[in-house]
This record gives sequence, structure tokens and C-alpha cells, in this order.
Amino acid sequence: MTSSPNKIFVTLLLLLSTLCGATNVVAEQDFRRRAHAINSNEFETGDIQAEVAFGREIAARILGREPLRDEAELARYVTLIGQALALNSGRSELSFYFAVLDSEQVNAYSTPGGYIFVTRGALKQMRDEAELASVLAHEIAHVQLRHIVNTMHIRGKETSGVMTWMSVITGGSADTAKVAFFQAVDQATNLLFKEGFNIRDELAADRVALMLLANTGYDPEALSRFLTRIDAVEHGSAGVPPAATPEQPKVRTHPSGVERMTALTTALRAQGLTDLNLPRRSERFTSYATHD
Amino acid sequence: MKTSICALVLLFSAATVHAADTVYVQSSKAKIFANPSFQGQLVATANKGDALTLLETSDQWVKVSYQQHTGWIASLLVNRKPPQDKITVIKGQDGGAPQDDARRRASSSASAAAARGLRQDERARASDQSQTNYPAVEKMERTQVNEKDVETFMQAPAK
Repeated sequence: MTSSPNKIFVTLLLLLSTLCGATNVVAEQDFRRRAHAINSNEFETGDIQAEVAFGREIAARILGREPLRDEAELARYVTLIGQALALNSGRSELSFYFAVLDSEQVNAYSTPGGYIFVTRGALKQMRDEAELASVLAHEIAHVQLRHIVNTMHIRGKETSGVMTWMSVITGGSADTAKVAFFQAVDQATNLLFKEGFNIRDELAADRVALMLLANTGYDPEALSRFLTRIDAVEHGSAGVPPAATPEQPKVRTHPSGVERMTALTTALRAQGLTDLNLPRRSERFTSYATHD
Repeated sequence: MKTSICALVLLFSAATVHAADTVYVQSSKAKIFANPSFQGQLVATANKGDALTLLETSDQWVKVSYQQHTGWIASLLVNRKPPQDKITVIKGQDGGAPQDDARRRASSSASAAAARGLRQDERARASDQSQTNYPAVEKMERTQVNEKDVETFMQAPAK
């Protein structure tokens, strides 16, 4: 039995392919090990469309419960800060939107796809623009880290029984699929209003928020200052009136406390984020977010 | 045949290196520091879409080479894939936000029929929390600023 040059070439090619395949596997494993901290964009366009559509539905429910603050200059001011942060985030494919809710509760929300809300009550507790930026950055971080997307498994090709999310969005689905879609929207809305994110997600959002603030040019220590203040409001310490009076705004859904502050302090030090002397911009904040 | 084999080896090798070691800047600008710390010396600033060669990772930082520089960049600012174009949502019967460029108009019209399944009455039937305010969402979406506005805003004297 003789081997023709062509057969040898094909054999070599197969061997080479196998070797290269093995090399690729090793390289890929090595890369995965090294790149564990890097965003791996396994999300397709359809997934992101589903995320935005899903988030927009939640935004409509948030605004169904709490009205927009009808103050165009304030809305633009918050949007400018938010967009500055968004430009320094890793989700350039999203169009972020920002709004102030006319609510006395001290809170902020974000939905998948980039709808970010902060309450008037929260603004009243802030002392400077960096603190406002820190709250927006925390909410952007939830979007960046896809906390709801991953918790609810929002994907364009998600198949839950007979449905796909995209079939609902594009109108090609049965009523049962629509019901399932909106039940998921309700579930996510409940997560925001009642349960809140788990502490692991909150701490992760805090860490990313610090990086966002520093990248954008705001004092990253503003988040600690703000959280310390609202924690004091909630628990009635540090000379701030306690939350027991009817007029006192309530702080909801976002956990606070020692664990969170300790984690923030650790992250600030670990990432070299202390004493950066980045601006707080208190004058501009006061001129826009007047405390009426 | 030797030439063919060598060419194949080079081809496979190049593909492996490219796939494994390149990350792309996702943010508008991205600072590269000498150390994995914001207090490190600023080595360079990369721009959105720039390709960086990945060298090492450490917690929330990655070590990269960029042009003639080597340094550390926040991992949240890079991705294994180049940044994507803006992805818009289908607003359909809720009116939707104004589309501000041709690409968005094309994207919107391509999926014009797509909102059929999201009629407000159907939403109300399907949801047990049907208290919604889509006009407010649209108002929120109309508050838009461009990158130039943001740049001017951030360059204002810090007080």
C-alpha cells in the first residue's frame, strides 16, 4: 500500500487541525483563566433587544406608581451626569435614560436596558453632585452587570414552554406567551419595589460604581458619604432625626449597614480610590437640585 | 507542500493569538495606569473601539499593551468583542422616542410591526400590575443630550 502525496498532505492537515484544535483548547482555557475578570459578550443583538423591551415595560410600571418630577432643567441636569457616567461604562450599545421621580422616599431604581430613576427624596439627602453621580453610578452598575437579566434569564431566544421573548416582542406569540412575559415583568418589578437585589449584587454594583465614578471624574468616596447619611436617617444615628416620624422619608430596598460600608472601604483602598481629590461639585448641585 | 504546511501553521497560529489575546475598549475613553490602581501613573488613554493586547488580569483590572505602552485598565471598560452599535427598542404603539439619526430610523422602520404583541390593552390583561405610564416613559426618553453636551458639562470649573 502506497501513500500518495495528496493523502500525506490530507493526513498532515488533519493532524495539524487536531493539534491546532488542541492548542486552541489549551489557549482558550488559559485565556479563560486569565480573562475571568473581563466581560465576555455572549449576548446577541436579540438578547439585548429583549433586555431593553423588558426593561422598558418595568420603567412603565415604575412610572405608573411614582410620577415623573415635572422639571425639565432638573431632568436635563440628571441626564447630563448620568450620560457622563454611561459614556464611561462598558455598555455602549445601550441608550441610557435618566429621570427624577416625584417621591419623598429615598430610593433609586434601574431597569434592564438602561432606564435609571432617582427619587426627589434621595436628592434631598444629597449634598453635592458627586453624591448624585454615585447613586446613578450604582444603578448603572446593576445594568452593566445585568443583575435582573441574569436573575430572570432574559434572552432573545429564551424558551419557556412554548414561547420565546422575541416572539412576544415581535408580536408573533400566543396569549399564553404574553402572559408569561408580563408575569416576568411583574416579578422583576416586585424585585425592585419589594425584595430588592441580594446583598451580593448590591456589593458588586457598589464596586463597579466606584470605578465608574473615578473613570468619569467624580469623587468615588461620595457613595460612602451618601450611604452613611441615609443609614443614619434610617436608623436615627449620627445626629440625624430618626425615621419614626411620619414626615421622615423612608429608605427602601437598598440594604445598608456595616457589611456594605466595610466592603466599600475595602474596595476604595484596594482600587486606589481614596484621596484622589476628584471634584464633588456642590455649587452646581445646589443650583439645580434646590431643596424645596 | 512544505510551503502549504508552513502557511497552514502560520494561519492557525495567527488565528489563535488573535482570538485569545485581544480586548476592545467599550467606553468613550479609558485610562491605562502603570499599576492596577487609580493612584498609579497614567500611562495612556485609549479610545472606544481600540484593540488592546491582553497580558494579565488582577481582580478588577487587566494588564494590556496599547501602542507602545503597557499598563493596567479597569476590566469593566473592555470586552472580548468590539463595541456594538446602539440597539434601540421597538416602541410601536406607545409612540416611542424620536429617532435622531438615519440608522435609528432604519432600525425602527425595519421592526415597525413589531409592537403588535405589546398593545396596551393586552399588557393590562396579561399583567397583574397593569398600572403603567407609557407617556411618562416617552417623556423620559425625550430628555436627550449628546456627547458634546456631556463633554462641555464635565469640563466646567469644579466648584
